[in-house]
Amino acid sequence: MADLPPRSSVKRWLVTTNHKDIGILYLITSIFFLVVAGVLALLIRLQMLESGGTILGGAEYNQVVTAHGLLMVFWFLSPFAFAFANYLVPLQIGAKDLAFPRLNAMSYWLYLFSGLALIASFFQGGTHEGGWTLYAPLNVPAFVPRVAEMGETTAVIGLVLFVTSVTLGSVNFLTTIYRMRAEGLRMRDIPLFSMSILLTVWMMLFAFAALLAATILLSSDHLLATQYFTDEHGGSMLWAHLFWFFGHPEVYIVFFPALGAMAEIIQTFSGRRLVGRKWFIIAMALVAVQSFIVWMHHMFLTSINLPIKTIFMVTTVGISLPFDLMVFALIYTMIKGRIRWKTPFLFALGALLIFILGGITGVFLGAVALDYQFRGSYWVVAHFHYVMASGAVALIGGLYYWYPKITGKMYNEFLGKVHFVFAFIGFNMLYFPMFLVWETPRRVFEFPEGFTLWHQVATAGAFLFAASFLIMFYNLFRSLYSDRTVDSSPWAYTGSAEWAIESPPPEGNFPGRPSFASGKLDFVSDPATDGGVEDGHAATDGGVAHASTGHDVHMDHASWWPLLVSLSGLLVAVGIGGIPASYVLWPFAFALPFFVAFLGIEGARQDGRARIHDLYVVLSVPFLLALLGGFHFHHGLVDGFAGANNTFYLTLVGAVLGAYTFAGIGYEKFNVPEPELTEAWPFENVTNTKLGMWTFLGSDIILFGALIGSMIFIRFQFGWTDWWPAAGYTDKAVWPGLVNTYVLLASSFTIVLAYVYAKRGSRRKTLAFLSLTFAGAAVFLVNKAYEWNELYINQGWTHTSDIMGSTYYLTTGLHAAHVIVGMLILLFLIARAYTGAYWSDDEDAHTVEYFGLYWHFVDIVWLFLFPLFYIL
Amino acid sequence: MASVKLYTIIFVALAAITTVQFTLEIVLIEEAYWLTFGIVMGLSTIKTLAVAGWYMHMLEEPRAITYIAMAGVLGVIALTAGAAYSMT
Amino acid sequence: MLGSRVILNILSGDPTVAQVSRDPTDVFNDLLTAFLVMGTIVGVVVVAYILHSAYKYKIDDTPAEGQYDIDTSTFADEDETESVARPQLGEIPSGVGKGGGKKLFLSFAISALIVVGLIIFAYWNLLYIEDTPEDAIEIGVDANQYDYEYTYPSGETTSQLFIPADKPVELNVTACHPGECGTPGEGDGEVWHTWHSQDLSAGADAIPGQYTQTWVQESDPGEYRVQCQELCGAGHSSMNFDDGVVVMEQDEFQDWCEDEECMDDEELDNWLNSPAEGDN
Repeated sequence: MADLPPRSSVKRWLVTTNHKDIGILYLITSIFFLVVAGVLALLIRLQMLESGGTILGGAEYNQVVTAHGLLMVFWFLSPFAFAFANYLVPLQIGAKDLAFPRLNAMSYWLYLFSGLALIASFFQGGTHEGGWTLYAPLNVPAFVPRVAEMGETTAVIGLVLFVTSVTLGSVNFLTTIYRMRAEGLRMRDIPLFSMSILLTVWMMLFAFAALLAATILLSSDHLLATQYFTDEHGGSMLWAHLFWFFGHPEVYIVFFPALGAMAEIIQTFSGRRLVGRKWFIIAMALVAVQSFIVWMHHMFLTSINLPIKTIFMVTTVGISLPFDLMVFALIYTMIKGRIRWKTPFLFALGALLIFILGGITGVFLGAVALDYQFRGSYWVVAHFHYVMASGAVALIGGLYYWYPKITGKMYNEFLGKVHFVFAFIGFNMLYFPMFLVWETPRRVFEFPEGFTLWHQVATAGAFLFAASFLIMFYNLFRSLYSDRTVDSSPWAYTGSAEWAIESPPPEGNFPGRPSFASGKLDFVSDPATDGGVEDGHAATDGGVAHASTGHDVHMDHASWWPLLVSLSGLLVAVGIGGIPASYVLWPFAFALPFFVAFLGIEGARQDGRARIHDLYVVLSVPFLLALLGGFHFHHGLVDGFAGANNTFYLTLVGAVLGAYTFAGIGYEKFNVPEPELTEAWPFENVTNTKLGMWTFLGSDIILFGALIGSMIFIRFQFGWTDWWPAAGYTDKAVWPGLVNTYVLLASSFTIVLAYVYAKRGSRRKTLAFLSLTFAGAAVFLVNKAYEWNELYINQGWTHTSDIMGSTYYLTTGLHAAHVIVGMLILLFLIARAYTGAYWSDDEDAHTVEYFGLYWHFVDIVWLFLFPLFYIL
Repeated sequence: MASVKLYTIIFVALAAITTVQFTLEIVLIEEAYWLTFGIVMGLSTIKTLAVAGWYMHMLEEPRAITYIAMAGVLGVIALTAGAAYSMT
Repeated sequence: MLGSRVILNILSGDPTVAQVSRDPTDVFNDLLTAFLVMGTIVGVVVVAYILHSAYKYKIDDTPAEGQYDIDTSTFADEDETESVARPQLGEIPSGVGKGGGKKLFLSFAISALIVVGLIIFAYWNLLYIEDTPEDAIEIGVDANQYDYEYTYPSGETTSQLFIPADKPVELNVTACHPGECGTPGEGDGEVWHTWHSQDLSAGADAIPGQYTQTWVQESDPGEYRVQCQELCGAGHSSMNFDDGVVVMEQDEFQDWCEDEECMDDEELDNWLNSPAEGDN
């Protein structure tokens, strides 16, 4: 589908892939979650009007506290920032859209649906009640009330969906910012907001992979009864390390966009360029890198040793220093400024003040001996609300700042100032008393009598703060219908490109191709069939401007598939928690033959019916029958299906829908032209898709690394060489694994040959080597099935037998899942190669190369998996 | 762009290293566990570099691609080593 | 609240430590005072400077006719002569932000010095706290859902921590001992708690299968609150005990301990009557 329906139609919003539309969707949805999480916060404060409040019971209070944290951190703060990122980053760098528009839409729908899954979990017996930090072992089935087991699992799977959304988003933004900048715009020149988003997505790429590892292991403990987080050799500590390795970068992920917004707003409303811009950027980059080496400061009271506490004390102090520099840079920008106290400036200024207080109190926490008292107390709660909510306050300033650009209307300035006054007073009334009564433990509603007054002040502040939002909603909504229209830049002293175009921007963003080649922004009109590189380009920092390929570039803007793929994820998330362990993998197994059939059917529709499509449809039948046979063997055909509960069928529908939508999105002809005449340093000559694949692999390295590292962590404490002797198998079958090593290496060889022959234009040889790769993968799985049958069935060593079993089956199982995914993609590639896709104008042999990158990664993981899980 | 011949040579080398690895494992592991550990992991690393360098064309891509992968690897090492050491 | 002991110390003018070593509360108070004082000074100075600047450089923001913001052309003359860089639409801003560089580094250096200084002071105190006094006896603390069990050297268990005044006691804290953490799914085992006494300035996580340590020493007899500061289940909010720690005069403790057989009588005697550890 190419063209977008008008804004007024519902369909438009369901199928759009345009970054501006998606930005608006994120904005509205994140505010929705803000309201939900905010109401939960008001419930907390009401409960705390008096010690031992009775509005909520203990377990309910814990759920409210947990959901408040989860929703705010994940479903409000970052998405709110990414509303602006989606809308503005392409505009600021001179691009027409993000690199992967459909994936961008999918990020949004996965985000929405994952949040709905979390909300649904409340109604499935109860959501998680162990805090947003989900500490082990409170998060495992043994400690979840039986009635809430389903809701608990839904919440975790919802989080998995969210992580998927974020990972897709980070791949997208990274590729866009590196490869789609306007001519002449070097990396160091991009506006500060886009710079902050760049660093945010770098952190997201690696940090969320660690969270994904943690939530996969947790889901496994729930769905398959593995023992990761109950293992007494450090199961709880394993969660803490995995979670905080993610958790600390996460708080900067949440804050950085706000920092970028503050920098831009203070610059604009001071009428002065940011002082020390170069150092500001370096400081931000340093923080982004350092954020990965401070995580144990959340664990100072655990059993970690003194030397490591000292190291992390030092790194924590180290990370506070770049923030000092950034704060001073913002302050000095105001000196000799021409400051106008407009609403965005007031919010940015307020955020700065709040952040300073939050930051100073954070240094207290970095002093280990102080942290010994502060840990788990309201000092921490006050500190992080000051820093995190200062981010929200700054982004609200951003909302006022960019509102005219997005809507073409100006908000009511007086009401904006009123909002600020109430918000600032309410904020401090709510959070400052928390420092005064810091000895109150976190997540607790019983406290000494003497604290009651301050808790009541805080509650009053909460309501004032909440009410102030109503002023904003009213203001922004009414202003849409006012007659205060704006031109391209209603503000004085704006600098970045979004202010040089209409408000709101037209669908194609710019009146011509944006270019900074002359030293400042111009909109160049290129003739459509320009064949060569323009003369007289100033030397850039090594970037190569690509010549236009000379054909009319038509971009697609709409697709149903992102919504449908995400919907299948929602169905699975909401259903899977209710399925018992013996049934849980079957919906996904059954979806496989459906995928094969859909490949045939969709392929026939899109590429013209060929023999290969018939073959797929035909082969899917015995495949399905074989699986039904397996199911019969396991459960009995009639009894099995009769005994399966509703959630099994819901998940089955979701999985089959997923199979259909993956086939659909794969075959969809969706044209996204490669960027031309852009800066692409340091990824010149790397296509967008290839860069996207490499960044994705970067995150997959962390995922598998964390999974393997989890085994290493536990094994280290168990006693490294005592591990296998203590395991419950009688005889470890090593040779299937060895054969598999040769097989996977051979399949890496065949896939690279497939690429070679694809490039040389040999259809037969390409098909041959793609098929050989598929065959190799099949042999791998057959070997694995033999090996698992031997160990699991014959020797009775299961994934629940012991921790060795848990780690072995889960890690090698996840690897096998990656192999299966590879095989599914190979089937797709074979069908496409058969119909000649890789020798056409639209697509070329590189698709085989991109798949090869994934496949080689799967091979490399095995090169470490085999020694570590079989031999050593 | 490398040739079929080069890819074949790499494959043969990979298979050969695997054979050496496995032989060493069987022969040495009882007597010198940690030596075997070091050699095996080292050889796996060499195989990885070969697959990444030639099959994934990392050698021909801009250096920045290598840095992305290295960042991931460094992250894993920091997490695993930090966590394991902290418990000693 | 707010480390009330700080205020009490200052007001009463008498040392909280009877005999010798600083107890954890003294350490905490010293640290907190230092950080609060420096933090407040820095905070006040910076905030004041920000507010001053935001006000001093505020200009008349009456929008130009038909606009929403000022007309920048009214400053055209100033722009020619001054040394401050103003944002221009569509500019490439790199490298500029003229002036302010030296100030930036000076401020940064000063704040860095303050932070590093505070942390060095904090580290020195950390080493003191981590070095448990030699004459401390060890009492085990087992946290569970939702109370604490204290195990004395003899193996006797109590549900309150009874300690003598002015004697250091080391707490070895866990939620369940390695090997005894039960089988998941069978209703036993424990979750993560903490043991915290704000009045005695001591706390440690209570983690299943792990041991953590902290130590206490208190000179004023009385009852002190103990609370759990890690979310541990539906009863977490109620997991607090105003009489969690009972500090007794030494002879009273001796009587109690002999009655309860909390430790070997001779050891008890040696412990209570030995000279306290030297001043730090």
